[in-house]
Amino acid sequence: MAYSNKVIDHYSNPRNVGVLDKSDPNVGTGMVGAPECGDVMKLQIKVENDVIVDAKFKTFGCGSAIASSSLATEWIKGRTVDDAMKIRNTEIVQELSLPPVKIHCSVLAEDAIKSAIADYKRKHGQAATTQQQEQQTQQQARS
Amino acid sequence: MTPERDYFQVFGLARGYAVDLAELDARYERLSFDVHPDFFAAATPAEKQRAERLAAELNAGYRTLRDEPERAAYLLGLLAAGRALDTRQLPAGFLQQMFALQEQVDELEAAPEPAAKAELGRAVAARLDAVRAERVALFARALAGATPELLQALQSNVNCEKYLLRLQARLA
Amino acid sequence: MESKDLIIGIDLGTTNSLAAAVLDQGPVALRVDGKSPIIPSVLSRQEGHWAVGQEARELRTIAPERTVFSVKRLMGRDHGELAAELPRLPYAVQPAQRGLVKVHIGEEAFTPQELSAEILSAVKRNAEEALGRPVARAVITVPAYFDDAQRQATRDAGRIAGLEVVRIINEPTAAAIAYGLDEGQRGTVAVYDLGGGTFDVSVLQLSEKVFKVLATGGDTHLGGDDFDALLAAEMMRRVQQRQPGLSLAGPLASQLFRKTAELVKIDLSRALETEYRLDLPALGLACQERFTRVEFEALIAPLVDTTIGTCRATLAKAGKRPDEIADVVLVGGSSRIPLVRARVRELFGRAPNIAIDPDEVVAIGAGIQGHLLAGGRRDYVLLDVIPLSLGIETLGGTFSKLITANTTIPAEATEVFTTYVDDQTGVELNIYQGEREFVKDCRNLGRFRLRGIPPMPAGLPKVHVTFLVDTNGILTVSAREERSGQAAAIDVIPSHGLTAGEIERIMDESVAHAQEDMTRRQLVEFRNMAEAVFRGIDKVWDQAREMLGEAELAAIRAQMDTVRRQAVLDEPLALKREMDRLGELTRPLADAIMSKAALQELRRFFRDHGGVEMV
Repeated sequence: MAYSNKVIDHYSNPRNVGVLDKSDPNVGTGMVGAPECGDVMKLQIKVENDVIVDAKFKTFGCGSAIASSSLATEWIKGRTVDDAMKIRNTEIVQELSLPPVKIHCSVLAEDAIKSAIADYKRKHGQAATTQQQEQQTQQQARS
Repeated sequence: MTPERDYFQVFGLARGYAVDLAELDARYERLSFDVHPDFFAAATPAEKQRAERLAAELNAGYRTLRDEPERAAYLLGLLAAGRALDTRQLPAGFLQQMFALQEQVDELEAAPEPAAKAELGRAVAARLDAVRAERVALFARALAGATPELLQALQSNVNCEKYLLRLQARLA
Repeated sequence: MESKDLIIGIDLGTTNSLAAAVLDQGPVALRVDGKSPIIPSVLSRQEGHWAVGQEARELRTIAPERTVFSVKRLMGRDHGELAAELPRLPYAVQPAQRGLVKVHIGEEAFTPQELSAEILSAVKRNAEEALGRPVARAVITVPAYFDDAQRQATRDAGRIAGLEVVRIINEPTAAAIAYGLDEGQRGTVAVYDLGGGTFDVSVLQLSEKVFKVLATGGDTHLGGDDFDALLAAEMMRRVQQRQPGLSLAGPLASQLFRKTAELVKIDLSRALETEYRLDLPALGLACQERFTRVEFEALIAPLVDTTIGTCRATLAKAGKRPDEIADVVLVGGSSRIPLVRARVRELFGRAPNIAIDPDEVVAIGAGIQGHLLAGGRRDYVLLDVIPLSLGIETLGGTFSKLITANTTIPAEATEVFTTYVDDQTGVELNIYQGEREFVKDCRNLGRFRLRGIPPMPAGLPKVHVTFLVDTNGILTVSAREERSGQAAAIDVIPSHGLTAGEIERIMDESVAHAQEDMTRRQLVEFRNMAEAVFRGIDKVWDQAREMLGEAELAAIRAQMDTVRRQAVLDEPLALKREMDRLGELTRPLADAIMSKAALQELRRFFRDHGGVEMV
């Protein structure tokens, strides 16, 4: 098989499935969807001293979407918020060897990270720095 | 594929969201006699290959135009004509509602309650009906003049249906 | 119609095969002199040559390890997939290159394609004899649920048999054509096809001019064979219970039980119970047994229920309820089993239609389709579907569908691929067919290697790969790099099939074999004919002596010796020449003999054995 055991593992044993307390001021919640297939993904982070100490997700979607979110939560744990912002969907594509038809799953995971961080920053009164974050923030604010 | 022509042109139908299905069926039947590879058994390999591809195009066109969600997405693509739309836009709060509904389905799967499931199914069906009714009106306006706002509203409408259909499939 | 235009239909079955064609009187199964059109799909290797059909069938219990049946179940399958059923076959099946299997007989080994080609050749010969003209083109039927590899294997078998396979058509669809055109059936129709080795169910929409398959389902490893195996195992268990000391291992016993099981099964379709004998002196086996229909039905009920479950699922895929089905057509020998008919009737709430012989209906439908392909008619169009989703391997061995099951074919899907490394010039795709989420549960159809992508930074090339499933349900792949407009080359590495080179080699060999076989057949034929002619001459010799001169008699005697000498040599054409000469010499004799009986005797011999004219 052309894929590493780690990848198969992400698929069959997704890490960090669950929820964090939404009302905790240190928790940021991101909610994103993929209209291509109707997938919905919720990703939450818990931040202490600017470092992401915990991350949880729940995804209603296909295996690739679940693996992408599982990998994303693994990657952001222990990173600073700014570092986590730098994760690109292409890295997820490469790590999981996602085919073109499933690239939107990696986009979903990247967006979920950004959306969660934006929510966290909003709670802490920090201004969003990119347009995308603004959009995410607005979406959060509207909900 | 011959991208020079769209599926409406393949079938000789006016571009629009409303399609007379009986007319579509009749044209599909007639055109199949023109292009189906079984009528090209004595032709050259190149002609046979061409028939295979034309028939594949005809079949794909029929499938697309016969199905409402597919027809809507396809027609929107034609109207947008390459203009960039926010392909993920949804009404405010929609995703959160979908997530909550998905969680409800999870709970019903864990502890089945037929009455609650049926009720949820009806609620989803009602939302789908509303989405489709809105779409008919939007397409009517967009065909008269496709403004970016109308196109974006249609994109959002088409997106909503995808999430609702996904839910409906789980409830079936 | 010119013979070159004729396209016959061939039902290449697990148990039986036959051909049909549309002749002046309409579509008919092709039979020689009122004999059965059916050729058992059995072949036996005898002294370097194949016996095919009924003759081979008889050899099953005499030379079990040299006699091959149910080849269809091996087509396009690999050794691993066949693991469950190989132990019950009396002949040896070994893994070969690239997932192929080969049947080993003595020192020789044959692919399932070659074996099927022998059956097809026998069907072709039979058709030619029935038609009195050569046949070059055919429509061959396959189970609707056959995947790409199994379809390709069937097409390759046809080619090896020297046939141009104009079309591969699905068996239930062929049956629907026969019913739709013969009985003028309209509306939604279900075809339940339970054959010797495969089960199919198709739901079709029949209108005046369009036969459209809505959905199809099935199991390519479920059929009468399985019923026989269950019955044989139960029969063996009973014998063993009473005579624990008896050793029933080995192909001889297993074939005896299988053959008896087959007869018992057929009997139980007519009678509520049956008696049978099992005699195998070599093993000390001699007993008289009884089996009831109730016992048999208990054995097979789980399998029959499986088929009914598949029917329900297929109806759902077609978006139809059982009560929306206007007619249910039964196809295949195993559909004669009363339990099968009862279960089908139960599901659909109506008596199934059996108006057309279930053994012939598929071939007849294929013959009608052959007629359409030959241009003999163009009043209906057949729209079939791909039975199994087709896609590529993605993340962690998951399966990504590109064309979903029950899509009308031909069907096309285009995907864009790119590179992950700078200057990467090739991309590899693994193609699968199936409905499961992981590729390990689907069938690998092969690897496609795209070559010749222009060197560019990673992610820049856009390779459009087009997957086309044609009317035969067979996949072809083409690719084009968008930025450069270059057609990318594709190497196809089939997982189960034969490569083009392998087919060519087998065809070369089979042409050589065919000539050799032909020589041998002719020799046997001419020798028999000579014997018959000699007997005829002997019968009238006394009269001849009275009627002919000494010189004429001597000439006949001398020519008879010449024929005898020639008959021991392996030169059929020379033998034929001498036979013709003898015919000339005996012509005055025939003319002279007024005895009608003698003349008729001679005439009959010559007519029956062909070739030599007598007046």
